[in-house]
Amino acid sequence: MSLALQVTDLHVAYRDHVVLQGVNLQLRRGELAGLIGPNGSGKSTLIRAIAGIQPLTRGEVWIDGQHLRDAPLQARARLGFAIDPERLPRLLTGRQCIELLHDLRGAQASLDRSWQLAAQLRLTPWLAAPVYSYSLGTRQKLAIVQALIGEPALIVLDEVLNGLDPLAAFALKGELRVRANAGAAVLLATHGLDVAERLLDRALLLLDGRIAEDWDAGALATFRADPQGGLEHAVAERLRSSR
Amino acid sequence: MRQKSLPSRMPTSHFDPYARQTHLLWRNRVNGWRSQPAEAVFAALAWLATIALMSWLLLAQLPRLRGYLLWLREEHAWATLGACALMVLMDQQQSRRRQRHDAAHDWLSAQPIMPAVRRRRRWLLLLRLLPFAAVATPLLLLAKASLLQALMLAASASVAALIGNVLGDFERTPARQTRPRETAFQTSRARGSMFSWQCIEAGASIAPRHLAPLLLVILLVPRGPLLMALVALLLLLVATGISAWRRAVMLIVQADRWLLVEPTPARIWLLQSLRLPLLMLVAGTLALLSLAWFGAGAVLALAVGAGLPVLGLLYLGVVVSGRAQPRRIPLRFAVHVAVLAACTQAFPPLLPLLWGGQLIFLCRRSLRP
Repeated sequence: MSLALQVTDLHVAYRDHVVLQGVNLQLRRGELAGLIGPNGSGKSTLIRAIAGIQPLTRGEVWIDGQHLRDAPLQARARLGFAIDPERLPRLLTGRQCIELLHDLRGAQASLDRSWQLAAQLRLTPWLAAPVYSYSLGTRQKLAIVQALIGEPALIVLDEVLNGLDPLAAFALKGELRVRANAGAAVLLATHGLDVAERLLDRALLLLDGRIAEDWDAGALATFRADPQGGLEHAVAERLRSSR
Repeated sequence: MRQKSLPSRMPTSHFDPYARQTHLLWRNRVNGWRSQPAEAVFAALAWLATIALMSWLLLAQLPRLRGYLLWLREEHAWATLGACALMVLMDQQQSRRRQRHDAAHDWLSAQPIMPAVRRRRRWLLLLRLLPFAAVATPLLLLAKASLLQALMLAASASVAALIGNVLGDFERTPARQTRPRETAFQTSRARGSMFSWQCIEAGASIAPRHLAPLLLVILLVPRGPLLMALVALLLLLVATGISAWRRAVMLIVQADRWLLVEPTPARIWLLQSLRLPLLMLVAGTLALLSLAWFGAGAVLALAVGAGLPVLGLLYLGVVVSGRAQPRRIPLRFAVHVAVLAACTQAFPPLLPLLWGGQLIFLCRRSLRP
């Protein structure tokens, strides 16, 4: 099965502060993976590095076989990335944002699918309003719809479940599973360990700038079957042992 | 697991998302004007009145301006040329830096945008020379500059713009290596009260890197006219002071957004947030008052001593009362000033009473939950 994401020896530093030190990661198509870890462990930095908006100190990123630095256009065309909701253009309407990205990505044919997703997330009533009038949750929904425009081979989402109402969160989880079944790889950074345990095929624990644990579908199934422990317990144990 | 081949989507043409975004923004703006015609007409009239006033002031000062321009042309042609080129260079450099920062952090930063589109955007920055040309042309005509002098100015400004555009690609610390820009009070230095946040925010606008252009002014002014250098320096310091004051005041809008979900009544933190702007207003008034007193006599001193607190407090009141709708603050302030201006023309003795009434009205609105 081909790789939707390959990250090798990734290092990122903010001036003197080293955030990521030697991250190696591979995601196959059809895989729904979660990135978990304590605050400040580098989840968002890793996500931004994969999206190509965080410069790397060292390392390589390939998206669906395209090198992010050498072929940025091709790599980004295969990536669906949910931008930070605060960075959405405040004076455009949600509908305008979505249509503009469809035109940019040459994905006009999938416009109807975006409207369907917007309806599932209960974003439709807001689409004609300017983004500045949106709540955090509504902006989050718009960022998600934008990330799923077209059929990206890799979908990268950072804490998108925060601020979503239960129905929208449920719809999003269903949509991510559908996309994964259709052959896309999904990387979801989240603090929700219960979500990770139930939804994901794979959970990656990021600790001190490295992938400290990589639990596959079998391990997650074991966690689900264990009423005493579970993923939460395993993560807590791992964090305690790292101190 | 069901698999199907995913199409590799690519931008099909040299679609320029930034141009489309600008087009949509203008369309939304025009639609906004259409949906609120009264407000749009008022804003247009306010602009027209401002332009008319400025033109009138300029025409009244035309002989003096012509004399000054002739003096510059004859005595300090090279220094003037250098100052213009430097101004264009710094403008281009700043614009290019801002453009690069936006491209790295805005909502389209992770999208597949054709390199040709990015290049075109970059060179479009050179269009910023057009406003410069629009101002420089009448000034050159006024100064009765020769064709050669006009060409030299055009050539030096063009070269400076190109250099500034290229220099904008180099920074002391690469912008992309840092986290997205934060306002000063969001940094780790910010601790404690609203007052200390405001101090940090105001201090950020008078940081050394912002004051550097002020020092350049001194270097650019020829040795002779020391008074001009002082006036230029004073004007720039006033501009910096106003910027610091505005940043301290606008923090109230941000604080309101943050504290909206807290059960803290607005009056508790609002009182604290007024300390710094009021202090700066008093200090600024006193400084300008004394300068005006020594430099231009009682009338100007009275105008500064009365005008600055009147407008400053009014602006503060408008910001605090309209903090939930920051986009409407300029318009609301314009309305209040227009009312005061109308009163000054119609019945000046009523002015203090009207001003007091406006402040009471704004205070009441500010404390409304």
